[in-house]
Amino acid sequence: MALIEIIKILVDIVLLLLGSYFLLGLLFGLFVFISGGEKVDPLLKENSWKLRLLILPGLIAIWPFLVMRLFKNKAHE
Amino acid sequence: MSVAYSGVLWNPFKKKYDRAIIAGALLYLILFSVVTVATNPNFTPETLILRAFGSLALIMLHIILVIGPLCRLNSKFLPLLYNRRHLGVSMFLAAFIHGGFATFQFHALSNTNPIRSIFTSNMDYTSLENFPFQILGFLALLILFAMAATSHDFFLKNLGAKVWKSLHMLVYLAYALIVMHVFLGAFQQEVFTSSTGFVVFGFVAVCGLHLASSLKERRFDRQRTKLAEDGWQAVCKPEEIEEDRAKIFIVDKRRVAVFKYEGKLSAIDNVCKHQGGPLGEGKVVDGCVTCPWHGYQYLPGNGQSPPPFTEKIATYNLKLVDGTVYIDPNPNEEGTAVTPVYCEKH
Repeated sequence: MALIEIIKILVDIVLLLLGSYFLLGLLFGLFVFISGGEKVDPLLKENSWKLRLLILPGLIAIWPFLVMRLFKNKAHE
Repeated sequence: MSVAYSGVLWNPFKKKYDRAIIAGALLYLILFSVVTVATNPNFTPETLILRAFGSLALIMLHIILVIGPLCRLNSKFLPLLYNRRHLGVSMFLAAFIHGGFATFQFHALSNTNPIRSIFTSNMDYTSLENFPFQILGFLALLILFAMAATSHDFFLKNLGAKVWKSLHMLVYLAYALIVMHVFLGAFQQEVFTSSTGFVVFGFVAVCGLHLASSLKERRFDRQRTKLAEDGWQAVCKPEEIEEDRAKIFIVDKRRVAVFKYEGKLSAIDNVCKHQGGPLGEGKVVDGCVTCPWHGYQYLPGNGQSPPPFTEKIATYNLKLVDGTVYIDPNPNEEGTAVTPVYCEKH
C-alpha cells in the first residue's frame, strides 16, 4: 500500500477519534448544562444558565477530567 | 476566590483592560487594511481578512508570552498580567476567525469534509518546501481552543492548579506550531512578508525575556542563608521592609514573604493558591495580603482568605532578637494563626 494511502487511513482514524471525543464532550456538556452541574461541582448550584453556557466549550474540551470528578464526588456521597 | 462562580468578576480595571484590548485590535485591523490597500493594489478581500486576523492573533500571542517574564523582571508590568486571560480569549477569537476563514476559503468548497481536506489536500509531508503548513495552524488552534475554553475559575478549581497550569503551558507548543506555520506558509508563497520579520523579532524577544527572567529567578533562589544555633534563620531588620509591603526570603529552599503592616510582622508562604502568584510582591490592602496577579487575598496573621472564602496558605513563626528578624524554617499547617511580631513603626 502506498504511503499516501496509509496516511489517509491514519488521518481518517485520528479525525474519527477527535470527532468522537468532541461528540462525547458535547453530550457531557449538555448533561451539565441541563442538570445544573452541581454533581460535578456543588458551587454550580447557585449559578444561572448563563454561567453554564459560558463554561460549556470548556466542558466539551476537557470532559474526561470532569467525568472523573463526577465519579469521585459520587463515591464520596 | 471560591464561594460561588460568576461569569466575570468585573471591576473598573478589568473593564478598562478590555476596552484597551478591543480598541487596540480594531485600530490594528483598520491600520492593516489601510496599509494593504495603499501598498498592494492586487489584494483580494479574502487575503486581507486572512492576513489581518492572522497577524493580529500573532501579535496578541507575543504580548501574552512576554507579559510573564516582563513582570518578573519589573513589577511595573504587573497591571498587564492582571487580566491576561481576557487577552488570551481575544487572541483565540482572532486566531479562530483566521483559521475558520482559511478553512472555508480553501477547504469547504469541495465534496471532502473540510477538516479532512486540511490533512489530505496536500500530502507532501516529507517535503520542507511544500509541507502542508495549514495542519500546524489547525493543531495550534485546537490547543488555543482548549486553553481559551478552560480559562474560567471553574476549571482552575476542578482541574487543580497543577493540571490547569500544565494545560495552559501548552501555549508554548502552540507557539512553536504557529512559528512553523508562518515560516513554511511564507516560504511556499515565496514572500517573506512583514509577518515573517515580526515572527523572527518576536521569537528573539520571547526567548530573550524568558532567559533573562529565569536567570534573575535562579540568582534569587541561590542566595545563601545562615541559620542561628537554634535553627532559626536571620532574615532582615524590620526597617528594611516598607509598610504594607513584604520582603521575600529563601527559607529551606522555599520562598517566604515577611509582611510589615500596622507595626507588626507576619510571614506566609509566597505562593498564591490561585495560580501560584508571588504574594510577597503584592501589598496589604484593607488588612489583607493581596496577590499582585489576580487580587486573591489572605490574612497575614493566619494565611486564610477572609470569610466567606476558603483558601489557605502556610504560615511561619517569627521572632525579633536585637533588632533582627528571625524565621523558623518549619512551616505551620496551612491557615494556622501565628502571633505577629511587633516592631516599631517607621
